[in-house]
Amino acid sequence: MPRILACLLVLLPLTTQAATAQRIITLGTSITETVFALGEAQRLVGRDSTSLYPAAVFELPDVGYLRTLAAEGLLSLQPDLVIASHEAGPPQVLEQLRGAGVQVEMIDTGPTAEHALAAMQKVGELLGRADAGRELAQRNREQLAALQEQYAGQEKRPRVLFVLGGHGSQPTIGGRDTKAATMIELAGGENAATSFTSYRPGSAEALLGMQPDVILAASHGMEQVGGVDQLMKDSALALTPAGRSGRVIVMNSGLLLGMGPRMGAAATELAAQLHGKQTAENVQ
Amino acid sequence: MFVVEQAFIDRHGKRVLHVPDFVFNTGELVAVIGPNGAGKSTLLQTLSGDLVPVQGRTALNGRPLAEWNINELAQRRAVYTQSDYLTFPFTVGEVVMLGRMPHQHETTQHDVEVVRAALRVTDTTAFTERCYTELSGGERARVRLARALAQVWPNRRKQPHLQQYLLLDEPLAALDLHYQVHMLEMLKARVGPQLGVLIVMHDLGMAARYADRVALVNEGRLVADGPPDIVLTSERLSQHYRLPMQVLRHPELDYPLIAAGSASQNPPAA
Amino acid sequence: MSELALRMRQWRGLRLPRGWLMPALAVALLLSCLVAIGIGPVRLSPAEVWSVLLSPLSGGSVQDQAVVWQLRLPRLILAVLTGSTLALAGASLQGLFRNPLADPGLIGVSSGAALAAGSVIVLVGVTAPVWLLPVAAFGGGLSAAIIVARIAKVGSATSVATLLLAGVAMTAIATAGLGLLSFLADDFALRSLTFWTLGSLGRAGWRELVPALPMLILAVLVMLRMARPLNALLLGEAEARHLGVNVERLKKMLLIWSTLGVGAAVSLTGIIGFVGLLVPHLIRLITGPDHRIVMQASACGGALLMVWTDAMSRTLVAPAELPIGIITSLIGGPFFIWLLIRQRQRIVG
Repeated sequence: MPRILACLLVLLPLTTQAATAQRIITLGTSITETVFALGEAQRLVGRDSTSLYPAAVFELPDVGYLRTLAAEGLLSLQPDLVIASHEAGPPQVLEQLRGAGVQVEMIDTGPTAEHALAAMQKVGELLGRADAGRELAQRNREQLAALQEQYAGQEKRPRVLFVLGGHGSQPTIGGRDTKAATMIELAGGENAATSFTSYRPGSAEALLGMQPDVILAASHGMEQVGGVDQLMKDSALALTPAGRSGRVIVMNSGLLLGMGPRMGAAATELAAQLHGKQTAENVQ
Repeated sequence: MFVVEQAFIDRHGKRVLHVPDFVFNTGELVAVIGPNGAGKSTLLQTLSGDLVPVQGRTALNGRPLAEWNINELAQRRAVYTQSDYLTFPFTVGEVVMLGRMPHQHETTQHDVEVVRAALRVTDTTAFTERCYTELSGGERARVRLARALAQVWPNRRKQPHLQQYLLLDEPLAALDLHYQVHMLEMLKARVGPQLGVLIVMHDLGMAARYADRVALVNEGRLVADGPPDIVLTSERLSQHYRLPMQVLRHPELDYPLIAAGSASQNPPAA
Repeated sequence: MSELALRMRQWRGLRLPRGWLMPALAVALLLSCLVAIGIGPVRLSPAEVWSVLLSPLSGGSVQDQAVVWQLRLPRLILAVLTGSTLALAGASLQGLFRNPLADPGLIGVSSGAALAAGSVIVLVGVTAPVWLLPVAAFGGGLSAAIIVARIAKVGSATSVATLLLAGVAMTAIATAGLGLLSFLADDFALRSLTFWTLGSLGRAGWRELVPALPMLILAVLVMLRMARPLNALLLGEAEARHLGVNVERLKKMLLIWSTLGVGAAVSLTGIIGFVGLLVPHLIRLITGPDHRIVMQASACGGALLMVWTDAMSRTLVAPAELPIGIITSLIGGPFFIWLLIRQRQRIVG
């Protein structure tokens, strides 16, 4: 009964409320980053534990991991708008937030460039900064288009294997439908691990079978395994073409996998490292 | 009155006991004797209702045991077993009070008095507050006996005519001689129109001295049942215990003494 | 009557239900509930909480209404009921197994529930409808317990020793299954799985709580009624039968209702460790092993423990939330070790 009443009270001004929301919680790194990129960070009152960029986010209260939220914790920050990645949950908690009169907006932050571009625009709209959001998306779209143009005609794309971290002997690698795969393709490479989806541990033989030309490693994962050299020593990666030629790229995890407003820049940087120096200069 | 008629008891599909005809009533102390593995405990479990005969009849007061309400049965007969599973730290008083379960919903003053009396007659009052699990084997045996006694303690006011029974499986096994005599004399004194006692025991001398009746079980069969003087003969005992045995009489106290010869001696031909 | 009570207390050997303990626990529980409903990351004064509670439609803001009525109240009820159920199930199974270290986990309920919930999280993932997780957890817990009970059933009797072993085997299978799932799982599912196995009261609102309420309440009431025959069962099964206890029915009832209760609790909260082990053990140290008092006091004590650990779970790392299973195990583990050491010293000294 109280919930029904609460819903009625909230539903009326719903559409106009978002644009003017002054106490916002963002759940999902790309969403948080977009709010910062749009210069609206002063309206944020909280963020989830995966939102780690830019450094100013650390001044905001952390509401915990976005899959295991607690309704009352979020409510204690008195938000009027929660912008959440579709991964946020559990669903009951989001429902409880809505029941408490908080506007909760879900954005699909799937692993494709289209998802990421649409998300930037959507965040802009929700903040009442639709133009700025469109502009941000457009800038990224242009950067990606430039890369596409440059590497589309290329006959042989380098086979890239993304290593997230995990145990040394069986590192966790990125398969199909991952942000890592998307970034590799955007940068003009070809994902070497295509036999599975999401991030999975790869055995020595599986790693050899993938024949990667380049190994792309996430920076925070490399801290876990004790650095790139240690990783190569512990796993069969050293025996792959990439290992033999020493072609290992380490990239900041947040930059590479964030797929927020820095997506275009990240893809450009990856492309530069992937295709050698002269091409990198061309891109600049 | 317990009645067993032409009962056959099976365990794991194997015939373990045949009782052609057996009656156990109030006013008597019955000793069940026999060699190891003969079926003494089986007979007791048949009477307690733990074992149901595949054929034949077991009844208490004319009603088959299986048809009795389990609580009403518990008000009429208590069972002493040799197994001792209790590991939780109950006090001796609490253990004996458990014997009152079939009679109570809430503990009454009568229950408290019964427990106290049962502790007194088993000479365990001194342990009342001690933890049951800390006692020695002999002390625990007396406490378990007190529990069985408390279960069938007469309530002269509420049920003045209730007939009750004690089924005791080797209650003397862990006791020293003093307590064996003490407990048997206490039980003997309690036997009367409203209490019957059946004891499985090994000491033939004790059986001869205290029992009103002796039932001899061997090789899964009730082979003899009657007054001690008639059942306990040198020939019968020698045959069933596979030892040369002699039944004598105590020169001064006038009760049977049973002497066993050496196992290497050949038993007299049956 | 009072003279009788006095006389019983004088004779300490009978150690009859300590008159003061139950009223004290009941009052403590009531007070704790009143205090705990005022505790949480959203700051509400007791006056505000009460104005909202007393006038459900008009008191306080929409948010205060939601916090009190939609978040804290269902959580509080869930804390009381799951705490009682877990502690009672622990006490029941400890009696059934005649082992003070038995725990609802032993008959496979928790591990079965965890395996089923894990399968939903990993194999169905985010597309699963909201109701599927609790339903699967309940079904998984129940099926595991049924299998365990079936294995232990010989003819018409249930062998307690086989039950224990079958439970251990079931737990091993479920643990392996969970291991397999965590291998198949992606990073997101893995974290959800981990959090589910650590337990939380925050996932259940009225919609989840209401269907489970009758089962939890019934489980508590039925288990409380088993106290007297459980005392007899501690003497041994045959001995309990001689005392007029229908042993097979008692075992069946204990298994069924502890399974239903724990299954319902686990389906709403995930796995919350140590409550079923710790609470009855602690109560027994105070009262002695008589189930008539142990069961009642455990029901209260379990509720009390859950109300406070949940209050801690809500506030310790606010605005985020600490899984309650971490707190119960973190408090319960060392406390239990301390109890064991104390007990050992008493036996030695």
